[in-house]
Amino acid sequence: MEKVLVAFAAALAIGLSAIGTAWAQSRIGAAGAGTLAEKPEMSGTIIILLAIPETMVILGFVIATMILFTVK
Amino acid sequence: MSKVEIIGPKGLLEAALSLLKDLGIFQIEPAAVGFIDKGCEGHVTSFLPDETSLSEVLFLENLRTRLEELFSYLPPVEVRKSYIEPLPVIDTISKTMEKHCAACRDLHQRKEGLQKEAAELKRYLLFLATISSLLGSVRETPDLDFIGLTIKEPQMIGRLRELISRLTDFRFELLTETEEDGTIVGLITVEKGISEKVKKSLSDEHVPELRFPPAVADLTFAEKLSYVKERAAAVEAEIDWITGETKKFSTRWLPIYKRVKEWTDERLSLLKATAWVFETRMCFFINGWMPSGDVERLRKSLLGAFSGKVAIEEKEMLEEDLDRVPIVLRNRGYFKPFELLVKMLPLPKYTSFDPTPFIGVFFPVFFGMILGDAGYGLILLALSLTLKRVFRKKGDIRDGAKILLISSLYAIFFGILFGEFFGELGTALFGLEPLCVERRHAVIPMLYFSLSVGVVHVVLGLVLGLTSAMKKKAKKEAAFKLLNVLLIFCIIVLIASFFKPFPWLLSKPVIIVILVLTPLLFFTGGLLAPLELLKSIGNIVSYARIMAIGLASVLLAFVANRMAGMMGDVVIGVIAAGLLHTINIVLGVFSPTIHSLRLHYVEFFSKFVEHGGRRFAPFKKES
Amino acid sequence: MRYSMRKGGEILECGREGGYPAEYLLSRIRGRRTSLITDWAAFLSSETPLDYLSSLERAGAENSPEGVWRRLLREYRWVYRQMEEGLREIFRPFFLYTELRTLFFCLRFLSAGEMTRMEELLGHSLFSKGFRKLLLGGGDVADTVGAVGKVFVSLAPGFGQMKEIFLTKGIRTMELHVTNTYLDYVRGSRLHPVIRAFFSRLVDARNIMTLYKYLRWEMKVAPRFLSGGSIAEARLRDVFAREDLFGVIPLVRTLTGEVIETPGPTEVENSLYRGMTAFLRRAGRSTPGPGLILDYLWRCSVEARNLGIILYGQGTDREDLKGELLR
Repeated sequence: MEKVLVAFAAALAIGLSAIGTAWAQSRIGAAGAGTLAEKPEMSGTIIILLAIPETMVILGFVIATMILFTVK
Repeated sequence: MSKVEIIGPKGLLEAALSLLKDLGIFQIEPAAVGFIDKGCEGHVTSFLPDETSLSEVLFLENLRTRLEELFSYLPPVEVRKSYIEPLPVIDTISKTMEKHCAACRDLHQRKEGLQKEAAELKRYLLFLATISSLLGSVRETPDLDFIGLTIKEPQMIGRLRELISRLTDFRFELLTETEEDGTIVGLITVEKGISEKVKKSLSDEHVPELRFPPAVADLTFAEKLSYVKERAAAVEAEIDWITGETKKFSTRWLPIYKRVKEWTDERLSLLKATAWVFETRMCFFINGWMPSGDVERLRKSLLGAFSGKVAIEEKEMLEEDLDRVPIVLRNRGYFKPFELLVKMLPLPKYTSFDPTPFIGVFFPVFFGMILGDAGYGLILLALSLTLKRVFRKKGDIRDGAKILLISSLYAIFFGILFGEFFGELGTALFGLEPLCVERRHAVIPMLYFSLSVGVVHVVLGLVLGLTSAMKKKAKKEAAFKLLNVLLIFCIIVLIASFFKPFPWLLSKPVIIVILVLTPLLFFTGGLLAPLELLKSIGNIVSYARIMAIGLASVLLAFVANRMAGMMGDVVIGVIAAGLLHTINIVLGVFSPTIHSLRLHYVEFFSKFVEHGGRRFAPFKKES
Repeated sequence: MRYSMRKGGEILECGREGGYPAEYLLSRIRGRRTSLITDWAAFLSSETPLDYLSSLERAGAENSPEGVWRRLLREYRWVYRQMEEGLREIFRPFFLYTELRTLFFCLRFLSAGEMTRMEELLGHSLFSKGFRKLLLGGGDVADTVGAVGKVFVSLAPGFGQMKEIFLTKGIRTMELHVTNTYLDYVRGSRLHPVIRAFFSRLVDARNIMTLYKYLRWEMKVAPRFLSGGSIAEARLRDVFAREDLFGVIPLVRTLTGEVIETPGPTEVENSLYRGMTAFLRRAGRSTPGPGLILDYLWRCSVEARNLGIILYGQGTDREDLKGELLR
């Protein structure tokens, strides 16, 4: 039972943060595409902005691995 | 970058500008701020061109407009390059061109007219061809009138039929045929007396009637057909003739006129550049910027050309100049291609660092660490070599290929360290064993490794920020960066003390140091300072992506190989594995690139690069 | 939440492609907003404002009043087509309101027999294919008005009288009737808060202008005010009853927060316009989605209006023009 809970906790950690990132990126991506259509010279800045929310899912991933590998 | 002033007698201005343009290493500064010494502003004014130069500008601009008009009439043909010097014969050329332009305009208009006619004739021909098949059922008699129609929508036919039957009391015939392009051609046969009425109601319904040119109005259908055919052939021939003529003209004259246009553009840009120059009663002043390494070269060229009459002087860079100094990225050899990655962002300021060397060192390493597969690395190596060869001339793609080349070498290197060759295929094929860690199982050690890379990178960024702050003599900012570095070290030690090899004893003094340093943060960085520190720590954690993306790539390769094993059939297995590996390679180009770029742009650059530099745009020949 | 304007859907085109996500449109609008002319004083004082206009690096800058109007229509249509279905539904009442003007133009062209101009104008409009066909159908004006009325009657029964009013009282009265009926209808339907606020202010502004005109021309018959504004009808009627032209000033102040010194026609109208601009600018900041779009659309129309004034007023004194322009 405990194993199931641990696995579930890890899944939640990565799953929720992935949803968060996806949501943020979808909006930033749409806005970025709009900006790019008007000002093509902004491409570098847009890549940065698009990449920023990715940290969330990476953090989630780190937490998930911590849960899986350190909680015994 | 050097701040430079060029001084000489007014008579030599054009020659000096022309020399600068040929060299293409000098950016003229049109604003006088910071160049003209205080107190002397009264004596120095913007250069005003004399009447001859003004009339020359007008003449040249007129010439250029007419040349552009002439070019618009000519077909784009490959021509040889002409090297004539237009200046001595420019008046003659201008006059000849007038005539040529008129002639070409005539030809062009005639051709346009003919093309329009040809299109119309084609329509008639289609119509006639369609109708002639219908005509079998209709006798042509003088008291009948034929109305040709083109109908766009099929549902119109029913409506038309209804309409015409109302008008003609059912004494009509409507035949339709669908043409190749989908339009429907119709032929209405009615008595002469009511044909006008029908025509009018048709135009009210917006159904275009096909009208024949007056020349054929009285002919029979057969005659019409042959007439239209003949005319179409004649028109086609004439169009061909005109095309041939203009082509002949182009091959003969275009090289000369192209050269004249080039020369005119050159001359005009030179004359217009005089507007950015300053003058006193006798001398001209050209102010501007140029790379410091080129100053000597310019000095020598000026000395050679004007034997000392035009002088060049390097001026002292002032505080207020720092915002206006143009920036040029100058990296040599290995680092040059990496400018591509820096150019995607706004340029750094003059006081900031050029981040190219750092991205040149770390980008391929990160890429290699993330991909970390010798097999994929080899494929990318081959790909980059091909790209480099194919796009030898295309600057950006070639640079990209070079970056990929270096990155793929690192991928191979790390692949050998991790013992990966298309996943664990290497182990199965030739007993490749990991030299340090196996990424698939050593998740936690890889995580610590990635985070350590992050610590090194972020702290390096902070140190660079510290130096650039010291260079700017911004003491508070420098102290803030230093505090950040110290606090990060303290926090790392504190975390490390939780693990076995480090004694718990250490944690107490470290906590005290942290408590002492934190208030100092507020003094140097303001209220939001702890947030900044937290951001730095977040940035370090963000380097965990090196492990995370890498793990995903390993697992995908592992799955590909397993799938191959599970298929049961060798051929299908190899195909399935090949497909999955291909996907992984495509991902393996994109995601390590994007992620290591991001690590640079967001985590690293934010620590020391100040954006907002002005691009160096030297006065040079347009290519 | 759905904002109802379903029925109006068949008058405006529904757009075959579903449009783009709202964020995309918003950042495009933010980008485009920067190319609008904002500094009119500088624009006018530049040596040749019109040459400057045509040198502007933007598509379709045109140098005639009709061109300016076409450009505005094109921009509106562009925004409408970029919208996703949800946004489109929110904005349909607004766009239909702006297209009423196109409709009036068309009917006038029709009565003047200028079919090609009408066709050209319709080419830029947002009307659906069916509605366009109806206008181009080539009946006489009264029949067309009747047909239009039949389509509009699905929105509100008041539109059913269009033909009758046209035949008995002429085209201008019919236009006024259509606008008023439309504003009445809009008030009764479910609207996004920003659009509702916009229409409410629009009604206020129209009421104040009506009141002002009646007072200025010293008319004795009480004007009919539109309901749905924020300023109570009783207050308007009170000012009218006192026959106090200066009584308009506090009304304008209530709406725009601006105090005008004399109740001249330009002052009142421009102040009302400015009030709307300021209000929408605030709305653009506080409700970044629809507010920002509405703000942009309004700014486009203000720009078009100003350019129109400049183009019509070529040769007039620059200072006089400056007074007419909106900020």
